[in-house]
Amino acid sequence: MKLNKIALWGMALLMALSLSACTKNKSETRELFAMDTYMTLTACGDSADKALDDAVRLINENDARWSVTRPESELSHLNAQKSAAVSEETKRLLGRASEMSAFTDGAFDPTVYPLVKAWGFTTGAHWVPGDSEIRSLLDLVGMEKLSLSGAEASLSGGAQIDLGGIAKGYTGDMVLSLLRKAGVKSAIVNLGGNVQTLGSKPDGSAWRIGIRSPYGSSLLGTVEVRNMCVITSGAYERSFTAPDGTVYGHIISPFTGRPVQNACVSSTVVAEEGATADALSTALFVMGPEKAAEFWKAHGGFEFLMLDDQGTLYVTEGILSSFTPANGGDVKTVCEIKR
Amino acid sequence: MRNKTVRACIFAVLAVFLLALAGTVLTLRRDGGESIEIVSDGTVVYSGPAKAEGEPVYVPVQTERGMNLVRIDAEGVCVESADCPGQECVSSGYLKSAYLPVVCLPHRLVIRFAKTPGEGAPDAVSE
Repeated sequence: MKLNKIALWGMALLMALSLSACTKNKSETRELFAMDTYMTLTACGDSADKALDDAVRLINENDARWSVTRPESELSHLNAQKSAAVSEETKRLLGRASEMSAFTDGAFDPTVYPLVKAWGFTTGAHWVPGDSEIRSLLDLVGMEKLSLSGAEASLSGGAQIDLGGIAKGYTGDMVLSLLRKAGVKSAIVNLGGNVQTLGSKPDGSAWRIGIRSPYGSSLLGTVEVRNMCVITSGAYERSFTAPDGTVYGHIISPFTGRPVQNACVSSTVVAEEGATADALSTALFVMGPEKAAEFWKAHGGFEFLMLDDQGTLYVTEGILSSFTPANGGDVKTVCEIKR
Repeated sequence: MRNKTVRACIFAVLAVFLLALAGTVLTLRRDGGESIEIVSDGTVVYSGPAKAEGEPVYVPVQTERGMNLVRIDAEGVCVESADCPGQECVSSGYLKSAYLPVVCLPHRLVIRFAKTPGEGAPDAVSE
């Protein structure tokens, strides 16, 4: 009889525990279109609902500040007037972009924007500019042309700036900070393919992030991460074929003024901070496999995976054990990069 | 008599628990590939099978932003035509995976599989 009672209470306790686990791990998701891309935000916990609404508001505010396609944005004013009052957030992001440009010796450079426009990547009306036009536009490139003083930013010598290579990563950092402050312990945000994670999955396991193959909708493989960002740059999405048959990707080298033509076809950076990972994924793509490996050995603080045009995937030693290549995918060889 | 009642209660609780467990496992293991959703600016405007045998099914999605004509046929679902400038939704081709939806950014249209991706699928894709 006593045993029966214990069993009954045991069952009731088991069910109550199951229910409480469900409530604790309740996840909320928001989807939105902003920053010229499609985004999804998922967070778990009691405070997730309100925190995600605040995150959506924050993203839309940043989009309004930093879009180069919205004439009323702070960045559009700066590009048009060469000198404009900017908000504290914009000032911080411009400063961060300058730091990343210096850190990468100019491989990441948001002032490459006039060349991006000249190649038609902003409108979709692609064409190949002449050598003299490229040379003259290269004179406008360089983050030293940006100066920040008080609440004002200025661009000299006809320079223009597009923060598209860092703004989503930076915004992801702001979103995760907001969620963390709201008490959220488990979240994943996907800002147009820039994936940033907070903590681990509600069951305590690591987040599994797929890395898209540049050759279709399959995956190169997956990495398992906690509290990390996984950000990829590839020239496969917005490329065009010139009349002579040359295929040009949308990532313009700040050094040549032309779309990057090296062995790299996809570059993924895994780092704690989104702004860093975002800028570095572009910079490493510009550098190509050999220089990227040298850069990583010299600096560290992040991990990367880079696919070359021969199907070799270069993976730094710090992330190799967390990486699982896709079966029958586009990776022919995995090559570990060691210090 | 009383022992029988207690036993019956235990069995009932156990049965409910096991059914709930089986339901959870089945839901988590379900593979994303049977039905799709067409979402326009955050609202599901169509949901149905991911494939259509015989004649294709056409779903026009017209909003103030523009028009997308979605086709569902024996191969799957794709955007047949659209009046967006880049035509990236059209060139995306058929919806192939649960983690990479077909998206038309200018028209804020998303076509995706309706169900939770199967066990082992990534939580997100970096691209």
